[in-house]
Amino acid sequence: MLAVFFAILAILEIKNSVIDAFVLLTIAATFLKGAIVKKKSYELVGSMLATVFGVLMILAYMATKEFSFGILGVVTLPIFLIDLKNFKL
Amino acid sequence: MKVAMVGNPNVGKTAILNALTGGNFTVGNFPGVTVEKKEGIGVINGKKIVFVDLPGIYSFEATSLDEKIARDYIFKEKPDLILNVVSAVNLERNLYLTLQLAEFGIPVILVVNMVDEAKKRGIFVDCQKLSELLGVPVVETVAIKGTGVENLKKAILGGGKVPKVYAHDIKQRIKLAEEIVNEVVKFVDKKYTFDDVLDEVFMDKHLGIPIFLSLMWMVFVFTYTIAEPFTSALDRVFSDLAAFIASNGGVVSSLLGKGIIAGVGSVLVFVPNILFLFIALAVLELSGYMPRAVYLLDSIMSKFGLNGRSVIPMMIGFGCNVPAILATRSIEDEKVRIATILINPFMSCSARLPIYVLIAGTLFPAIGSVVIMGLYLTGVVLALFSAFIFRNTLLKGETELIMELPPYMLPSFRDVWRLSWSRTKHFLEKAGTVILAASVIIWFITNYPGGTMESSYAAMMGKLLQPIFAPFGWNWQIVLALISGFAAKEIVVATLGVLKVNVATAFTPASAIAFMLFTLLYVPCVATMAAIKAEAGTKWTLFVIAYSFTLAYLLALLVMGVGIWL
Repeated sequence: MLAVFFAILAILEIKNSVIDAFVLLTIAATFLKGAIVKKKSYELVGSMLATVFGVLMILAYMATKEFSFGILGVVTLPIFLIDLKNFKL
Repeated sequence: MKVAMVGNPNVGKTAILNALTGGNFTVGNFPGVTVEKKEGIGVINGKKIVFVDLPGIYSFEATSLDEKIARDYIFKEKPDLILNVVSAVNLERNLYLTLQLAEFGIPVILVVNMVDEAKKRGIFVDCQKLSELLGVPVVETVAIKGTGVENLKKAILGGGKVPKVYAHDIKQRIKLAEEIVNEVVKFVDKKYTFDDVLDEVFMDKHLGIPIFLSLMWMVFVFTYTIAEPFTSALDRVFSDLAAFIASNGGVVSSLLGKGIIAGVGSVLVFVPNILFLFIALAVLELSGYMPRAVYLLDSIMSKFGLNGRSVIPMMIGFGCNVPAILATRSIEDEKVRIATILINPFMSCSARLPIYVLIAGTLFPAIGSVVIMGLYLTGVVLALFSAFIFRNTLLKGETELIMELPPYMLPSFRDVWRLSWSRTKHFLEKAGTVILAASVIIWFITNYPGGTMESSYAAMMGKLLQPIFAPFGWNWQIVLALISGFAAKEIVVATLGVLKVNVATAFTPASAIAFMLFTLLYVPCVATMAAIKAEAGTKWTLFVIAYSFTLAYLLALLVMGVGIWL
């Protein structure tokens, strides 16, 4: 589900920035691999990358007023926090 | 009392030094933070003690610069005590060094650091037994939390003991270390730690490199895009200040406004970029991710005679070549280090970007970003190509990478700030002083003897050197801009502006590409040359000037040739 969401964001982002789209595709691939091998570690790292990228894109928007679909990466913050808690840290 | 601190890289020697002295030394979570010995003074029970933190080493064979520094120090300075810091996580490998210490006949205290990390991994060290076997006091610590530091202070006052175990050669050391570890280390069921969770993904054979590239892109966004409002604000401040002072008239105002403030200001406006870059890199470094990146890229870099550690200076080079060259200190192999220094000026620093933006934006408006990205990639390709040549001719030798992957940590704000500010401060000190001197010189040669640019020494120089660049069709003003770029690449655009060069008519598409390629490759700026001289010596500085100029000239000629042919 998350893999599909980020793959769609990557496609939408290509017009704005190819490199931002590459980052979103990497995040999608991380979630996809996690789903295939059935390991939560990929979900944890994928959501961490998506959250950090989302925060960066918000800051970049504040600096340049240029929108990036990467901003939507912040929606994975709850998933990241839940996974982090599950790993008992 | 003088105490030397000895141990493998990344075992926490500097953190222990800070805990013992209340010092402010830069700590890292990356092997090779300490590249020179550093001293701190601590007072224990009223007794003044000088602690000397030596570079992290794996043996006293003195094959690398670090090992030579450590060995020479102990032999020549004869400290009263050696604090041998070892990591509880990897005790066996750390003990290879410990087993060489009896050679010096100096009392030793063994500090078993990072016991918390070891426990997390199910590793328990019996320190009492270890003390009995080695015949020296053993203290457990978690230096970054200050745990065990009071016990260590008491042990230091006790003075330590000369080790009773000694191994002459590497085979003996390996065997003995294994025997000792078998007796003192207990492995309880290895838990699936957070480090394992992260490593599974960050070191994934398919995702490792894309994740690294994504993180590097995030570093670039943070460095350039997010720092941009700060850079623009500083630029406005310096421009207004320079214009205000210069408007007062007179030689002193002109020197201050058009010379010093305009020149030094043109460099200081990039301080936010530099600081942001170092903050991002400090987070990656202190978190423990950077050594993983080094490990991931090692196989690619080794094809060109470099190793994974060359990646970090190359990445820093995109920000500024000066700190990048200083960052090569963590490369143990001297020949790899020199090769990494020599290729670093080919990494397009941020100062070259305004040149690309001006020329590509004017002559290739539709494909400007492609042209600029092409220049960045050309720099990387030429750097790797040059490294391959150097490592197979002048700097021949094998390359190998021995490094331990440190645990992941959540970096503290204090450590991130301390690390990034100390590097930024270094940049300010080094570049600021050189740029100040260069600014005065440029002001002088563009204002004297005639008082106008046309009749200045700079114009004379431009006209004198113009024939060398005649094959490229550049006029003397463009040549003068290139000469001014010798002081700092930012000044190239400023000079083109001052001389009112019409970029659209002064260049053909081929001569414009040749010009951008030339500015990418020709001699490094003065600050970079000063850094190369400090790190590699005069011989290599002269070599890099000659090599880069020749390469720039030949490639620019090639571009012109292809342009005429097309």
